[in-house]
Amino acid sequence: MSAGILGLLQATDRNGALVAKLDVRHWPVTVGRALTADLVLDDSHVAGEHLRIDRTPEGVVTVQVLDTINGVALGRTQHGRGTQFNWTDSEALALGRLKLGLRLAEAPIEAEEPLPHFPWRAMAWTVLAVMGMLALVVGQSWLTLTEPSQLARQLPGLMAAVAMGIAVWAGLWALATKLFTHRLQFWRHVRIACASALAIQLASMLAGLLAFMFSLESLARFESQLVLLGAAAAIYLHLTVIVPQRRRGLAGLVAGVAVLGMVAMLGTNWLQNKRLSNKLYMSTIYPPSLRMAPAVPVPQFLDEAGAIRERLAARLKDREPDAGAADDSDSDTD
Amino acid sequence: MALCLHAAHAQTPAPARGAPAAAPAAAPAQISRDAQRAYETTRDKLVQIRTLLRNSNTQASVGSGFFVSANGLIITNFHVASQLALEPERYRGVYVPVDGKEAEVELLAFDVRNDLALLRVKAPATGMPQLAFRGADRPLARGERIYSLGNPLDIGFAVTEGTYNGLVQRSFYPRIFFGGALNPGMSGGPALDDSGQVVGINVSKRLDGDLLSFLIPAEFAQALLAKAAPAKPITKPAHAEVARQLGEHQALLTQRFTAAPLTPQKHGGYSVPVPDDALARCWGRGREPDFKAFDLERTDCQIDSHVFAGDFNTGYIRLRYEAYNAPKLGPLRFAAMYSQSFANEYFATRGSRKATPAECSERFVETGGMPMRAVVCMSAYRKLPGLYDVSVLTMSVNQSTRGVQGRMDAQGVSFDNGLKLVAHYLGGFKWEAAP
Repeated sequence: MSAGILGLLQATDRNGALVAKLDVRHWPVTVGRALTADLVLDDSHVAGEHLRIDRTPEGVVTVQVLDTINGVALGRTQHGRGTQFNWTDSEALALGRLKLGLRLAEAPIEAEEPLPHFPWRAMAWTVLAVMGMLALVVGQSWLTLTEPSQLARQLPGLMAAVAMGIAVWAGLWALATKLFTHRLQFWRHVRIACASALAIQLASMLAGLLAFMFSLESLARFESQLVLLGAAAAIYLHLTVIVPQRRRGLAGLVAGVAVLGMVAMLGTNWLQNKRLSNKLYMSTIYPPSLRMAPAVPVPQFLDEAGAIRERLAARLKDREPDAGAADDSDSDTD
Repeated sequence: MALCLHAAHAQTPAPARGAPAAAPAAAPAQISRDAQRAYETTRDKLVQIRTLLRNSNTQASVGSGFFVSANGLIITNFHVASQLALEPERYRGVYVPVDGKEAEVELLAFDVRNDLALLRVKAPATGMPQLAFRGADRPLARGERIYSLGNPLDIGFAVTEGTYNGLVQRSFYPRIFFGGALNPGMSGGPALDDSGQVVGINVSKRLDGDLLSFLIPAEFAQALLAKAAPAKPITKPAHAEVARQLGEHQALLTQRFTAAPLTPQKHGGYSVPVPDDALARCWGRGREPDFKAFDLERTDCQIDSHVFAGDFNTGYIRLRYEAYNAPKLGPLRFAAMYSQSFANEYFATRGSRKATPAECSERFVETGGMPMRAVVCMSAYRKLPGLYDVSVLTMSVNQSTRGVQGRMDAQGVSFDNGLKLVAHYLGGFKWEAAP
């Protein structure tokens, strides 16, 4: 290129593809749809003569907005017809559906980036996460399928089903990612899915263990809420891959939906049965040696059970028999 | 297992209307001359009892009954007339004699524990024909012929012949074991001896056997008649009276259950409590061949003290045990399997028209030298004040690869008796270290 180039104007579309460029050899330059403009942009939302860009002797780049109805935006500031402003930082201008960037000849350029290596580390994590997930499936099956023949018969199918499930789940997220960022990031979604499934499982096992050890029944009773929170966190992580620049907004959105879901879950239980959890008692047992909570004598247990009388009296009061009759449809006993 | 023999309309089979051939006059040929005589001498004292919806006059249930006094008193089953006791504003009762002229009846009294009701013809009556009761001084011999009468399935009056087989074993209240056929609709009808005197009242049959039917001994009907003949008719829902009688029932049940220590049943080092053989019927199953990884022995016990309380049966106790032993499984897999079995239990989470949702209390308790996990859940009856369903679920947590789980359900007991039963039950578990 000749030494006379003062700068480079580049117009890109929404996807970041270059649609037009101009080697600036003199100031000012005009930008617009008209063929008389220095940089001709083919966008119906751009005026014939849209902008005039100039540079003062002090080196400040100024922009004059010409006869346009849409104006131009720099960052969040909108500049209408007839205004003039300084284009100080390197941020792109938005005009019509395009972005206009400017590189000045004297501006330093960023250092050369090395080509990406094969992502060994990410692959190691992926393998680890998938192995962890399969180990979880094997472990769970080993725990619950106590008949040897059962285990041998069901495990392969179960592993295939889980692998398929993860592939479909991560695949759908990858498609969404591709839509917004032009990259699939499939393996990243696989990592997120496996890691969060493992974390949720571990958390609920830990909750069950603590509930058993210390006789903390409510911990066992609200396990499904714990799972819901874990699932919300997983969805947040998937979403940040799709729109990485909006982490805070996403966190708010997912937290809001999770809170709504939680309220709906608890609220449904409350409306139906006047209790927050539909689990009546703790049922998960761990080996006896892990128990820390004391075992009380039977009379003390029955003393505590005496409190049921008041609770039932309240239940009798808040739904009188005739109101109960109106509720026939949901009475599944009798 | 036992079926009460009143025919609600949903149970009435479709061909009933088109089967006039089954009318009493056309009694099948195989009935003996004695049966014929029994029917002939009884036909004017025998009635069908119907409860009708007041609004639409359609029949809600049908049963049988018989006259026991000259002024028109009728004995039938409580389960035939229960709607007149509990919802008199919606139902009215009529009787239909053999010659077919329907007339109104009113409910005077009932005995819930023995499933009996006393009705009276509404129009003033005198000189009505009546059946006499066989005196308790002349007990029947096993194998004697008796004849049961009634109107099965609203088809027509019928007499069935069978044998007296003594009293039912392990029945909470005395019931006669009748070796003959009873069918829905015959409930409340009389069973007669050879001389035409009432020995019992038809009440129920077993569905899992043939010709296994039950009668209420006549003495209970006599007692109700003696006590309640001067009573005023019941015109308002009688839930309080039903609850009072059920209260007497559960007091007796609790007293008999807790009177003696429960019998220990051994499973490895564990003893679990089972009721006395005279009180409850127990079934056991050992070593399920389907499960190779562990040994499982089950026991189911039930006290046959069911009482019909309107829409449902109540007043009984059921116990169940599962003893696990799985040395090959290891502590973790055992715990997973053991938890699954503990979780897989039904409780009234949602509640119903009968009772509130359950309220529970849970703990690790120490009993018989071992820690156990115990859950007690109760629900309160909505319309029968002071009565509850009580369930206790328990499992040993002292061994890493073996254990016992037990459940006891007591239906229709008072709150205090419920806890008393639970205490008695939990006190019956024991661990003795393996020799």
